[in-house]
Amino acid sequence: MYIKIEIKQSTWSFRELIFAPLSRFLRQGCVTGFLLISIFLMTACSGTDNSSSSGNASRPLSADQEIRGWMILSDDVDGGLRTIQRAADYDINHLQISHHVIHDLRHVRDPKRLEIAKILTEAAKNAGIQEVAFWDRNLYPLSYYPDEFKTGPDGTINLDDPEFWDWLRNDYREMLDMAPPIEALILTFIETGARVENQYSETMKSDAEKLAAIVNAVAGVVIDEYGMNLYARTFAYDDEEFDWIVGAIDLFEHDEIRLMMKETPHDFFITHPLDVYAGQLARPTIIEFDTAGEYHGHGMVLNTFPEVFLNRFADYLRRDHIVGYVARTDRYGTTQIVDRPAEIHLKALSMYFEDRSTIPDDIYRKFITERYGDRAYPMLRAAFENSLDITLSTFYTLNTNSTNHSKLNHDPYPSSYGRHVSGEWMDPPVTYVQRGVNREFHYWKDIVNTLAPNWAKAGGTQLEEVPWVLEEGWLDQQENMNEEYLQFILTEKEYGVALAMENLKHLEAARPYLSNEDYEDLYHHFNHTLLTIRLHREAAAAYWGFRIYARGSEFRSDYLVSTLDAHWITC
Amino acid sequence: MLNISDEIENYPVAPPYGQWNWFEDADMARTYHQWITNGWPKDTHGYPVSYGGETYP
Repeated sequence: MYIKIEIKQSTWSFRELIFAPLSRFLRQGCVTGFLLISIFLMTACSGTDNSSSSGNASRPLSADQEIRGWMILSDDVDGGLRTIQRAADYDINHLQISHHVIHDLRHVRDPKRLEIAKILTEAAKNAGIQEVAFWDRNLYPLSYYPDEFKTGPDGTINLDDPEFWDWLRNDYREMLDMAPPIEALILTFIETGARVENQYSETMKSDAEKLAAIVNAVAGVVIDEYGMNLYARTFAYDDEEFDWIVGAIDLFEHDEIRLMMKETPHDFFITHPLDVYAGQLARPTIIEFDTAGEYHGHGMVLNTFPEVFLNRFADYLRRDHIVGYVARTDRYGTTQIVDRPAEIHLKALSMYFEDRSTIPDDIYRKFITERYGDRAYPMLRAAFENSLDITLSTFYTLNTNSTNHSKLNHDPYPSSYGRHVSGEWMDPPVTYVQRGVNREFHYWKDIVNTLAPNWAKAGGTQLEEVPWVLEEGWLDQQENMNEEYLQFILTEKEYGVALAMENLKHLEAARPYLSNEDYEDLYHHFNHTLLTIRLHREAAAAYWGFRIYARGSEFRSDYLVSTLDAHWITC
Repeated sequence: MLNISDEIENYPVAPPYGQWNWFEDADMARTYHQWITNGWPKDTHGYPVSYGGETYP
């Protein structure tokens, strides 16, 4: 229950008025204070309409409400406020504030972060967004915790010490009292900070018990004392890990805890399959979508492929327990996708959630005609539909992401050849590459074993994450880059360049029907896209071509030298 | 490759910036040019590089 009470010009939350001071009084053993608060509580409850006389609908989403969420990651206030302003167009009822603002709840102790969080929270409430949530990831790093609790082996926290749990609960009370009024917490509880499963306990025999202990302690404060919602953000990468997490969730003491899971395993790649585990856990679950393209353009270049999000969301909504979505709306800085072409991804989720008969054609038509007008629609539709292939040609190479969070980096960034390979989540790990290549590849034996530099195949933690790849002998430690694969790579990059150039023609055809401002915006957006794929083509020719050249004179064919010269010497 | 780096660096309208900064891609391309013409680093993340020290042309 979250009751709003208006006193003069200020709107106070039930938590501000009742729970926070009550919890303080109780901690201080102040019986008089407790009685006074109790009397005030009874009076307030008897005379207050829960729906709020102010019209501000801030209260935790109830169990029977669908969740239409957005997430703000950036600390750019203007961009965040604009995003919030646009949320009403999408009937957003849940806003997560994360990463560069409140990534861990402890960030409320940073005055700059807290100030931004307050501004965004207040704006969200004024915009009528029902539930505002902050992110949290616990455990925090070990250095965060007082030494007095690190009495386990090797300085680990002794989880059997009841005073540690008292301290932790009190820490949450302090942080929530510092925070502006929010209605929910998003708690990532696995693979965080000091990792609770690595801490010491005699009484908790399993990792699942330790994980559940953290969630239960936080829930005791967040749900029981502050009347908020708690979303446990979780992910599993294999059946063993899934069983482990199921074990922890079975030990959650609060039925109210909901789950949040990512659209794909591990990270947000277009080429990844869906998360097979989402919907298998018997709790209300929201799916986290990266509509802002962390790994493929940030919406800074033309990222307009609503069918990807529609198809994924449709799959999830056919499963049990899926009650909504939360869409990432930026990748830091000024990359907010609202008001930009990539906003079409938000439209895809919204339209499909509203009407399950929605098809991609509906989304393209509605978004483009509403944003740019009917007469520009055919040309911009053609340009927008080219985006998926341009994006896959630029930021991916043969269906493998070959950037560092969208940044050009074929070498020395190792994740493109290990952690980010989509084949990790496929059985068999086989992919069909279109875009002029039109060939099937084995992710490891063909793509990684050829494109990866020898040092990336030599060992390290990334390969330890895929032991079966080594056991199967799919990788060797040799330099295997060759002319055939260089041709595959450049065929794909050329395909993207051609489409990006074609898009400028589509734009010119649409120009008579666009405002000058929209034309200028799209002109530069399309040129940023074209320059990016052109640079990737050149860098790919230079990098992978050089690797072949370095193998020795027998590899230095006329084709290779002319390719290197074309992309290297003369350009 | 260097010409396109120039085009990016001199493009009159900057795109938004986030975790990815568009202009840094031009820097990365220049870094590749330097490594290829002067000699690629001989080890990466502690592992020897098979093309380390090689140059083109």
